[in-house]
Amino acid sequence: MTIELLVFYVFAALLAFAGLRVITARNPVHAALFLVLAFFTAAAIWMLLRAEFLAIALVLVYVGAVMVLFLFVVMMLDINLDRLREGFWRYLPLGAAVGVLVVFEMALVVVAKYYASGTLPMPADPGPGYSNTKALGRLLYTDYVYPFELAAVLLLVAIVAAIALTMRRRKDTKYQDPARQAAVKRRDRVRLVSMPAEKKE
Amino acid sequence: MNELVATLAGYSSAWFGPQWGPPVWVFVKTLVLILVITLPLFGCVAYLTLAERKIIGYMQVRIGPNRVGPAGLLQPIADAVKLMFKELIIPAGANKFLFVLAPMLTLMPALAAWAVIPFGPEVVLADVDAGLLYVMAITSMGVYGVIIAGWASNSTMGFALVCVLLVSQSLNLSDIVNGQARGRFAAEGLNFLSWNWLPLLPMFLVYFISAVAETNRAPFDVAEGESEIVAGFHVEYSGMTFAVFFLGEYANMILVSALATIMFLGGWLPPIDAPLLNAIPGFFWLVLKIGFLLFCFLWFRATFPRYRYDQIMRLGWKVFIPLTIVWLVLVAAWMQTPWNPWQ
Amino acid sequence: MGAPDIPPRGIEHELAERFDAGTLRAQATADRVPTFWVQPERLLEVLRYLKRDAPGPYPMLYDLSALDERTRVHRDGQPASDFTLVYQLVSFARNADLRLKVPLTGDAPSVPSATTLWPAANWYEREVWDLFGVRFAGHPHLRRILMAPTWQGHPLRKDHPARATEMGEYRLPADKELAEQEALRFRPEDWGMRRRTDASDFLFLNLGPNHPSVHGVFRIVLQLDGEEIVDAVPDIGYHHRGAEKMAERQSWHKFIPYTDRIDYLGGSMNNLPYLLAVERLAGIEVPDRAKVIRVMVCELFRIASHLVFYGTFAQDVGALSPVFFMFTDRERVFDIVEAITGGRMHPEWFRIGGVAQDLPRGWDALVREFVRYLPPRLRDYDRMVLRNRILQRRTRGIGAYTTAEAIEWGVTGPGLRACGCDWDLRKRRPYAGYDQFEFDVPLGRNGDSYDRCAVRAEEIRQSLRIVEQCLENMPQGDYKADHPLAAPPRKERTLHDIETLINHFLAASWGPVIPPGEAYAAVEATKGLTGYYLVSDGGTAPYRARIRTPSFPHLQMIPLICRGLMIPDLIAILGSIDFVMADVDR
Repeated sequence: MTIELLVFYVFAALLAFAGLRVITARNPVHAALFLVLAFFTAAAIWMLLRAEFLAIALVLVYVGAVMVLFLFVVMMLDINLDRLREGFWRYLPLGAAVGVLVVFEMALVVVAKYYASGTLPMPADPGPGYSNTKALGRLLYTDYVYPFELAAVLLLVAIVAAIALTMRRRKDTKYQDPARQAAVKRRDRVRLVSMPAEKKE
Repeated sequence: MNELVATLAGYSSAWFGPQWGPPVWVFVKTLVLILVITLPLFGCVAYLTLAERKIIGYMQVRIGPNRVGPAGLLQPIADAVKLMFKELIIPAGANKFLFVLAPMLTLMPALAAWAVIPFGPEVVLADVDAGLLYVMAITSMGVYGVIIAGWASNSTMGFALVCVLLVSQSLNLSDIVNGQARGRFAAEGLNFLSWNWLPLLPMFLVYFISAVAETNRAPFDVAEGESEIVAGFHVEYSGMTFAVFFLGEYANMILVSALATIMFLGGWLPPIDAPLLNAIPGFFWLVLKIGFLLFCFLWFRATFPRYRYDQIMRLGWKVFIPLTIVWLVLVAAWMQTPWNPWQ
Repeated sequence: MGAPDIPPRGIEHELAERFDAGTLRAQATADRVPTFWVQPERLLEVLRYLKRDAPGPYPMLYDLSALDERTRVHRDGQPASDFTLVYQLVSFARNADLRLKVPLTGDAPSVPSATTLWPAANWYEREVWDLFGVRFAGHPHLRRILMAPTWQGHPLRKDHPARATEMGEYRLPADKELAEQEALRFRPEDWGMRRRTDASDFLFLNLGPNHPSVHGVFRIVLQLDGEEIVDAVPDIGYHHRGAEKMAERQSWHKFIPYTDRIDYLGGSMNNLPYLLAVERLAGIEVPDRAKVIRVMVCELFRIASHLVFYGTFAQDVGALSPVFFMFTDRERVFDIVEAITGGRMHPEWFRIGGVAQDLPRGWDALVREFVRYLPPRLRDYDRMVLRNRILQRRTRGIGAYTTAEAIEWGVTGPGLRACGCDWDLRKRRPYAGYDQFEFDVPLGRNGDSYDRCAVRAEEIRQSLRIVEQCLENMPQGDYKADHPLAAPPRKERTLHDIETLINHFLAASWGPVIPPGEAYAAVEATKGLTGYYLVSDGGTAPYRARIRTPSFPHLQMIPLICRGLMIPDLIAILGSIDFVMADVDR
């Protein structure tokens, strides 16, 4: 057993544990945090496979952004656990079916290895100077530049649409125009008035 | 030095066998290096708090702490001791596990990011190729501590760094520093004019302002706005949990200052390529520059009123992001012209 | 202002033409404010006429209070009454006040509420209900305002004990404590608020009573939709000390220290309206030197108070440093005040008929140095605070109200001048010799938080001008009136004959006996118009001392100006109003 293998098993065990806790934890905040842990460990495993860009992107995007939103939602919405549990039996068949399907697919991948059919050959060790990030960037911006840009535009549209759909304007909100706020001169604001003293009491 | 390292590595192989020896040695060595980085960092945080109180005190015609030790120099120690022995109060309605986890989640990324920060040429714990990405990924996790404790922010800081990435054509922090030693002005010995801050001045400002916002410091300290929400989530923390939050926050300040130094201020490079200045160790220059930026943090706090939450969001989304995008395109175009200063 | 369509005759004639003699009955007072008695059933009609239809109308409900007449002896020619309501209105066009008195009989009297005419009547009527037990029919939320919600009785009634020792031992067992706390719980339904709409659930948030930005003990319950303030309910009374009740058992002279503590940042400035009213009742003419000394000390206190405002306003918006600089400068003011009076924040130094002592030797050097020192500092502060871009964004357009709204709600002082209304009592109705000084009146335009701050910053400079004129032109002469009712009595001749010794003994131990009558006097205090309406029944103590403070109506206005803004804006508004809770709750 090599040290890499040992590290892999440690991370794999952690990943399995975290994944299990995501679905068994009773507190939704705990579950979300275990999902964060799962992502993080998965990133570590990718790191072992020298896919450092993917690993970091996973942390950056999922842990740093997506899960933050998740947590927000979970913490802001007062989730009624009892009501969630009520649906357990109703959704069980569908859930079980999907689960079985996933297990089947994974089995296909694992089993296929033994029959040596449909598997890709192991890539050659690229050597020490190789940068995963650079290679990925080069591919994205040369061979796959149109799909990549298309995806970017799609995402942009999705962002704009999401904001447009959820935008709620209230009429009685008082809004200040910052440019006007800063543009006003002191002289326009305060003036000194010379007043005569009026009738004396 | 190298011999000593080799000898120690040899011992390790001798004790644990040829298969387990080297990994154990790497493990021990890394552990020692981590301690070598984090322990002085804690010291810096402690004395940063003293510096803050002293500097802001003098700015506000006060004296600041002056009772513990000569000129108050032992104040941070006294504070640390006090915080260690204070009772940990956990609010009745709080989830104990999350409540204690939150400060740790703030501190952890603030420390982990230091792994890739170069303190000098070749002096870095992990010389990762994607160092910049690593830092971004790790610091993006810092938000968990605050969110669990009650609040969250949004980042425009990383975006400003893309320009740096563009001109240095590397994600490796050491390469970025070394890249700043080259250029038109550096050829004439005026190193400091070749550093990224001048050609990328708008990005430097955007980065630094975002960094102040990212670390929840005045004038963007809405998460603990004294006059509005009275220190916010800090109110509920006491003793060591509060201390850990505090450590994380200040470690973050030092971290973003260190990053700014590396990205824009030439890292460990001396300002002028003169033999006398070159003789001074690079580490000194790095600390000097970080110290200057930290001073700016304190200076801001003593000077500016607080932004309102939506005004910060406006600044980030409507000012900084468009500015960054435009500048990014400009720099990219600039690099294609004969006047490219980065060659 | 002086609109041309106002008949030169007084309002007496207009009212006599419009209403028959049975409705309105005039009464003479020592302050010569036109005073009329009106029956409760005709009250609203008269008020409406005065506010809307009268030529040169009275648009501001300046004060609304009451007095318990049941033990009063000297009521010559006044209608029979157990309780009397006193409405005081201000006409800006006429530059005149008008007082309406409503006689009420019985133990639980009731009058129609004026809240439909003036929104500002709301709190005043609650206060009268709280302290006198007079009901106002048609009031939307007639409940206690200054006293605790669980209080028994109405404290300003003459039969209510004035001292805690008259009330039996106070105990707070656990169940009572719980009940007291429960009584303070905010129930939105009580205030006609909904907890949710179809679009959103509202959050109800207690800001205060202990919060660093509410400047004392002041609670505002906020109805929030997300970050936005939908409505607010200010809750006052946590600082109520019963100053008006105390006045009824202190001698005229001994009440002076209590006035210092009404607006505790205004120091001696608070003595002035009280003493002006007493002197009016007693017919004392104050010598010139005493007048100028009073003006100088008052303006020094205005500077001190405005410096506190300036610094804390910046601090509320988040700038931490200015407050330290300004408090340091305020110390310099206090050093001068200390040299002159011996006290600092509350010198209680003015006396009936003058001031306590003559100016000490060397006072002019101190004042001269300060007058030279402050202007460059003020320029620095303007750069630091008013010209700061972040502060401008936090305060411009925040918490704005118009002149009309300000008058409707009873706003006075810098808050009114920030809207552009040139109403400064020192100019309009010069008291205490202010007509002899040259100074300008700073006016704002927009009535927002920024303008309120800018107006005050400029007022500091004008106050410095006045102080400088005091310094250069201090008249010679007596520092106290030579009048038998001036207190403490003069001592020079007491050892010469027994008559003056007896008089001195009585005047010193009992205090002066002020002739029966009613008088009102107001000053342009640091925060707005502070006025004392004093009723003497020919005794050694006031029969009733009504203290009209500016901060009370200013706080009442908060919901109006903070709706649709965010909590940080509310903090900026609170800072810009410049109130102290002692000035609100008394």
